[in-house]
Amino acid sequence: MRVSGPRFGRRRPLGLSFAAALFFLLAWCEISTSGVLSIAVDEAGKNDWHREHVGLVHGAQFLPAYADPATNATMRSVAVLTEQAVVAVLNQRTGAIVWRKQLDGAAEVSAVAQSQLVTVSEAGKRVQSWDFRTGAMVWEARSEGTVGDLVTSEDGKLVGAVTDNELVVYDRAGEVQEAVAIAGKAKKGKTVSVEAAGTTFSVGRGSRADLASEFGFANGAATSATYRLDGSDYAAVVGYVDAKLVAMVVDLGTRAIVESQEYALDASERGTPREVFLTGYAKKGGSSAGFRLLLVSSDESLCLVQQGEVVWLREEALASITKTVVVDFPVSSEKVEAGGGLSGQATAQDRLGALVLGLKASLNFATREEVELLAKKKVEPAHFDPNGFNRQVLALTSSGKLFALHTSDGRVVWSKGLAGELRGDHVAMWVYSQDAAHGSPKIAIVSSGGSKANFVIVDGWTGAVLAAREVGTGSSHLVSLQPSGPSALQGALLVDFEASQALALAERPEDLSHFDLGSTFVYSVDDQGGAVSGYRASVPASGLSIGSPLPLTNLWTTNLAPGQTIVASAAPNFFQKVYSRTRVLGDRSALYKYTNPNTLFVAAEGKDSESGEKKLFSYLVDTVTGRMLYSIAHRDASGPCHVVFKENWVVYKYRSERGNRDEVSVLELYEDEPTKNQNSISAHLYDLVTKANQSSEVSSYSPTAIRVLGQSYVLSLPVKAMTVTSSALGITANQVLVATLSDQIYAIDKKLLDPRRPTQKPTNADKEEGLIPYNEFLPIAPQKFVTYTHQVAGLREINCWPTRRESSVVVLAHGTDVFYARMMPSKSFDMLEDDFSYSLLVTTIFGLLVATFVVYSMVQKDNLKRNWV
Amino acid sequence: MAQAPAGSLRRWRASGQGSGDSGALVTSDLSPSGYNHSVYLTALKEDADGSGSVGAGRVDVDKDALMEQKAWEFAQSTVKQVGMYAFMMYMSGGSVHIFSIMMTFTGLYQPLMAIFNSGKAFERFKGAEGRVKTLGPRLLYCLIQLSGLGFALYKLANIGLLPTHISDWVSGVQVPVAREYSVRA
Repeated sequence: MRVSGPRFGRRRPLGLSFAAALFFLLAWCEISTSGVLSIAVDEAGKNDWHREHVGLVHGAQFLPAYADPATNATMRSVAVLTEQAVVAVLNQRTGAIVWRKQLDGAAEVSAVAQSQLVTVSEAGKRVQSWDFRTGAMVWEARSEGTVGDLVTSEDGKLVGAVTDNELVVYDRAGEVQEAVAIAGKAKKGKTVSVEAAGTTFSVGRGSRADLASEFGFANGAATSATYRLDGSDYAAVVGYVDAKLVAMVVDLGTRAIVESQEYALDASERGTPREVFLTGYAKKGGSSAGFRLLLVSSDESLCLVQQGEVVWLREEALASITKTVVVDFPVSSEKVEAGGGLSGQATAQDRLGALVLGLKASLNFATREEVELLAKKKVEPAHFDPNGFNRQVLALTSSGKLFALHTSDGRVVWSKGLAGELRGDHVAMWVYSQDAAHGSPKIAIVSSGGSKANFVIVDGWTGAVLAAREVGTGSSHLVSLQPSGPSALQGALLVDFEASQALALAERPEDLSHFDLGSTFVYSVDDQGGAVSGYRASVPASGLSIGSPLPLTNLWTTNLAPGQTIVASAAPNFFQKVYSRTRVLGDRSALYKYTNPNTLFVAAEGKDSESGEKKLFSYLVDTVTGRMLYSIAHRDASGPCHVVFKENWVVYKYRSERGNRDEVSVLELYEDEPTKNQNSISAHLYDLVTKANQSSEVSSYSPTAIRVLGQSYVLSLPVKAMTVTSSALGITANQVLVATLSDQIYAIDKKLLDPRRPTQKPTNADKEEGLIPYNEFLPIAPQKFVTYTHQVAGLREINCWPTRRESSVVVLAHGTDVFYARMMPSKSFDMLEDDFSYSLLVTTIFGLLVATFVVYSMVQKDNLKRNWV
Repeated sequence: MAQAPAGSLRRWRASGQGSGDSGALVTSDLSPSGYNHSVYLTALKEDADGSGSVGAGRVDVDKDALMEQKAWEFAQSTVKQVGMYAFMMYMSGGSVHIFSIMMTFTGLYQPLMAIFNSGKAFERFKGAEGRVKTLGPRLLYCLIQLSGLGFALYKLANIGLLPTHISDWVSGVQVPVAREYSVRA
């Protein structure tokens, strides 16, 4: 706007220069925005979110109040120890994490001395002390004996570690001050006072009073440890009475109920209380005491309750996600938001204000404060997104609770307790059927345990259980069938190899008619035995029926060499989208990809029969016929091995014993048919026209010769999991995502893992093909960390899904934390950048429009003048 | 070149005609000394078309032959033009850029148009009755233009825009689907 203002004042030739100026401005903008690879600071958190969790709490320690160095306010916090081996300090007021540390093993017990929090982990061997205000480790010691308990001295200055026969007293620097023998002194359920290091320790845990039955709670109530306040002993008992959570604090001396409160927590959602931790405080001015309870429910949620109010609640079940699936929202958001997502309805004025603010922000007129306000206000609605960016991630957790997370910010849209329907081992969760007309998707969950398995169908928008069936096999081998029918119904078989039978899983008997078993082959990988076996399930003459077993026939077994154990195996996704049949080389010839998805990569550890050195053997096995397609051995190599298999290439990571480092190899599979790889254009054109040698189907029974290209690299990142991105159509370049031991995700471009990278000086053809000269070290660029500055604590698994935009893929990583990001491996080629300058576009169009009118009127005036002359 | 004497002759003749018939001039005493009327009459005869090229006609040159020579000259002169353009194409480089592509496509278009319009280009050498044969020069002209076209095609192939390789034909090849479905248990 400022550019155009003064220029309009001048005369005609400036119309041109104005346009020229705009042109150059646009050109400059284009130059300046190209070549941006990594995200900028202000883009952090825009297309990604990170939910931090602590995990299932099994121990808590209320910490003394201290002044927060940043705000100088009094900070009350609580330290928690969790099953996920996390030590964390939470703010008692808000539930926010003040700090947390991921330990190598779960911390069992903790104690507080002055400003130090002492924990014992790794089966009672590792004693660590943390400054609970900052989370800095103060000292660390390795205990001789197994520490069963930690006790604080009476004066609160020292901490003693109780082993089987000793009390070891540590001072503030972690030095052992005194070790007192306590063998024979401590008895079960009794507390004994021990004098050591000039102070007194009370060793031994008092038995927890059985308050639940005494105060009329049904089964499933939890009682806290004894809490001492002003010379009196208190304990809390929490349980559900008539589906209402009731918490009572009892004076253990007088057996009187000091406080009894009801809390608005739903028994059906939260389950029974699991653990309760009690703390108290003297109320201001009065002699009475107030109490706070930290409650862990059986759905693994953690909440702090006080005086009839739930102060905060953390869904810690999300720290133990077992299975995830992503589904679309309904066209109208009412269905899923009913369970509580958005708080309060926005008024028309609010919406208009948000609209104006959004417009301002997109035209770059908004101030910094306004942008922040907008980001805070902006809550993506839970309805169908044509781009496929806003969807819900259904996350099944080990506690049997199903969560729906909104992919825009990770908020819980709804949750549903399914513990009653599921068994312990979650085998699989998948989209059973998807209504073609935006109806609700049906989600199938299979869990096994004991000698039975459960098959449950839930509604993908509400979590309501639609069908639940018990299957008479304890097998956890699930075979998903090809989707078929109008709603892409994907049935499954539960295979029991010992009984040589398979059981069909379906919601309704009529669904079975859609099942297609015609050309379905089943294979299993025996890791220890080093064998791959192929089976076929035959449909009995009576047809398929729910619950009746299908006989299973062993077709083939491919045994690896004796002594080899399989360390990793992977096959490509059968339904992956392959965009191109060929790979075009620099000399403009083409290689035909070997795209048969019935190919299994197997990595096996073994020893050389002569020299006895360790070797890693890689095999490619056809999973329909059991044919061995290819094998290669890596010398001096061993597992652990991680593999990804996509289209026609395999990338696997293994350990090189000789180099004492991690290495990555890539194999690319091409067809080696002379008719296809000949370089004669005329013959090729003839083939194209006559359709000779061109088949629309591949079959393992008419195998083609195969050519494998391979190359190896050194990866200087410690890998614990690997996955590969997949886009909607398979046009976008792939990236291999690596989960590092430091709980980060690193993206390696497939371009770097290319067996055609030239080892010699690159020729012109190589350059034209865009090949990067070979370097044995894969470059590590800090911008390629998908998690940028985040660490996804306890990272276990990375899932990758395509969106409806070809350029974008989404990544969901979970462990203790949950991290989600939208990535563009080939940059945003099918949409405008987020920071696209709409204001410039609008100004340009407006400016050109004005210029057109001005010039038009000038021309008219001129013409008139000329006619008069 | 032919204009100046013709003009002077006309003016000269006009003044003569103005005073009466041509015969009057012969007998006139006003004739300049050494004036030979027969020369004037031959000149008049030669200049029957009124073009005034009396001087050239006087030289013993066949006009048709001259036209043909002109046509040959014109045909040969296109070498320079085509060569110049080929050089420009060569200088624009073998990479796929807007400039080199524009140059190459103009290089293809121009010779083609020149060949198609060659009849028109040689029209002016045919003379009024079309007696002059321009086929030879026209063929040469077309040949030169064709060489220009050839160079442009060569350039196009160099850039890689000619579908002369297998890679240009494989994009239509469909990705086959697997006939069998195998799944891990």
